[in-house]
Amino acid sequence: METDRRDFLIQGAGALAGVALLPGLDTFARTIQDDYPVAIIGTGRQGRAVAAELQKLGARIVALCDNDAPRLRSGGRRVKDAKTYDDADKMLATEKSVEAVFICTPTHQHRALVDACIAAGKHIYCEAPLAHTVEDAKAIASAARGSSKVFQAGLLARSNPVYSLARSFYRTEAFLKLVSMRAQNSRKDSWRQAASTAERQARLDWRLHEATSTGLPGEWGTHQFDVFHWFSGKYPVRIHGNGAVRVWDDGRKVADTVNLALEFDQGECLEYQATLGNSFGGRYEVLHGVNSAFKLAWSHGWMFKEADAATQGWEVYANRQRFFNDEGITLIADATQLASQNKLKDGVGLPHDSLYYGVSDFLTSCQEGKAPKTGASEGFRATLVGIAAHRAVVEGGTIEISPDDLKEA
Amino acid sequence: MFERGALAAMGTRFEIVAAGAPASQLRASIEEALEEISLCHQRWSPFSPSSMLSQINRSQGEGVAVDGLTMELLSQCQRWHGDTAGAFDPCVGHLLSERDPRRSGHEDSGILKNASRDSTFIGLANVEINVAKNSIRLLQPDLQLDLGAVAKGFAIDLATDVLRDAGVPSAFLHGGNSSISTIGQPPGASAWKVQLPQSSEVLELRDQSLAVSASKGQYAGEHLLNPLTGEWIDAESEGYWVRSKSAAEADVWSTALTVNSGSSESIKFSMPDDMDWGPLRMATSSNTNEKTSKVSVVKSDHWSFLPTESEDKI
Repeated sequence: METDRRDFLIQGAGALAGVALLPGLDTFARTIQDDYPVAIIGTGRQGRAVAAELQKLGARIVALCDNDAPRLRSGGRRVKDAKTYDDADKMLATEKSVEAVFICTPTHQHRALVDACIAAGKHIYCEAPLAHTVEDAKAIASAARGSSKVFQAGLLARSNPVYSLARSFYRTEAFLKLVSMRAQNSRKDSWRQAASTAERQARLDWRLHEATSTGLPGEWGTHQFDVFHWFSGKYPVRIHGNGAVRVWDDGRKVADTVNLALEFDQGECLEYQATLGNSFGGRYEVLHGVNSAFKLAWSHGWMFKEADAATQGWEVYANRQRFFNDEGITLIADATQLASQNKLKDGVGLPHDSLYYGVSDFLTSCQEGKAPKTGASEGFRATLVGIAAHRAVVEGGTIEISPDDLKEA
Repeated sequence: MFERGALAAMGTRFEIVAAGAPASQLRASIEEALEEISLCHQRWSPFSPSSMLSQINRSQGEGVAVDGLTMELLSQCQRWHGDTAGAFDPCVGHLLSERDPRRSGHEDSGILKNASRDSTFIGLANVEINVAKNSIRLLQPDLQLDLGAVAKGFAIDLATDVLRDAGVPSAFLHGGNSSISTIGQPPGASAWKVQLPQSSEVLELRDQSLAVSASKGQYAGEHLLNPLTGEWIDAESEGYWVRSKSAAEADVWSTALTVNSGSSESIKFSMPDDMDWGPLRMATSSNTNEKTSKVSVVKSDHWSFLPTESEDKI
């Protein structure tokens, strides 16, 4: 991003005000209408997590749907008043009062469910990636565009208050100009699902099947790539990838460790690593700028200023954390107010999971008829990049992404 | 033969060993069970400022919408509070924080130094539990909930359900060596055998749970309060074990028995018929002059699982 001096002054003033004026996080999103009727399709881990956030937000979960009986039972325990269904069409035909549906199923099942929900006239929150193929992703984006209802892709960075605050600095002299990008997602996990029978195991382990999986780049990377898309306003033009089964040598073909380089049009590069073999460092994204670097870790974020960067004044209120030789300024909305109350402490982060803010934004869009922060277009493009990155790993080579590839139709 | 996994959560260490199925199935089952425990930590740990519990404790009289499991746990706490005649009470967080400031969910614990010991201030009657609205409201502004006497057991029960749903035929789960659940028996044995703390007494567990409670923990001496008086239970009071179908219930009732043993006036409650219990006959360690409430698992020729020593802080 090229930014001139005039932009600095205008955007800088906005950002400084932003630190002080962002709403208090403890009262964030209390404007959701109580008892707003919703349903969830897919009650695995993600569906249950969505249910918990909906309950915190005061929405009324009218129905749950899953074709896996143990998962449906587990979901039903958590949402006691909800009716349970093992068939989505039956649920949509029966539960006429439902305004919005959360699609939290395996990725390759999204397209049919999006079509069914649109036909039933529902607002849709669809987990990301939107699909496991470009064809399905285009079909979903096209169907969403043709609907009068809200469609939100489950990419959470754009709703995350810490990321929003960081992005407000990205556009100022505090960051100045993008130098490079790096991200990782490290977790020690087999990626297999607990199942009582071989048939159930095969069905639940869809992320390990070549025909249905978008691999680590698609299932994890899509969410993190979108951080960089959103900050820079750009999408990669080329992706180099490689990967291997380094740890879980159980017959799987889908790599458990991947390395990617996503190149952008002016030489910017995002280095990405994901693994199921080691948890060190967890999940985060780093943006290096001329005047500072941001490290963003979903519930927490930090700014690392260069020694020659100008002091902007607000740093006096900032909480700091030491990382070996570097000192990070905690990125937290309401910093000035919290500081005045002596509530800024080491490790201060968001009071809720990122999912809370994404679900909250979606419900607000549904109730107020506003466009969502992360619509079908953003979801489609991030999905396409994730699929391309997975292809680069599978083929062990380079995938080019043209502007035409990013067009929905 | 055995797959095992561990997790640091709720200020202690959870561990699961499982057997009787293909290794990949066991591994996946253990991962999902530990994930369930991790989510419980996010909800109910008093040590984490961002936990659901810490948010409730900061709410200063405002209603807080909670998730379904938190509502289920607090509703059950209400029943247990009544059944134990108040010997079990999660409304003692403000008092527990005096001994262990980290339990307050933030470092600035000075505000708790003068917490009220007025018995009317403690008790779940001071908590509004609105099941219809999934909402919790603390009716006394400085009151703080602490689920330390039950959250480990509840999390262990949820993790056990995950393993059962996944068809795991044999498993041993524990949190901090003091809250235990079992599925089936270990291969080649008739039951999981657990040795009580500093004792030769061995209990057998098969599809059962066990909890032990003692008045002296490993952190800052006494760690149990009599909720009816607000006073600390004397470290020399007798501890108890309880064997039950549910680890959460075993947690609750072992706490209630220990509180009763340390109370100057007997607390009148009836133990449920479907559980058995007994005192911990603990000798004082000559090295540390402290008791410990850790159980250990009896080794077998067929398996060699031994829980690792860990701090029990919840």
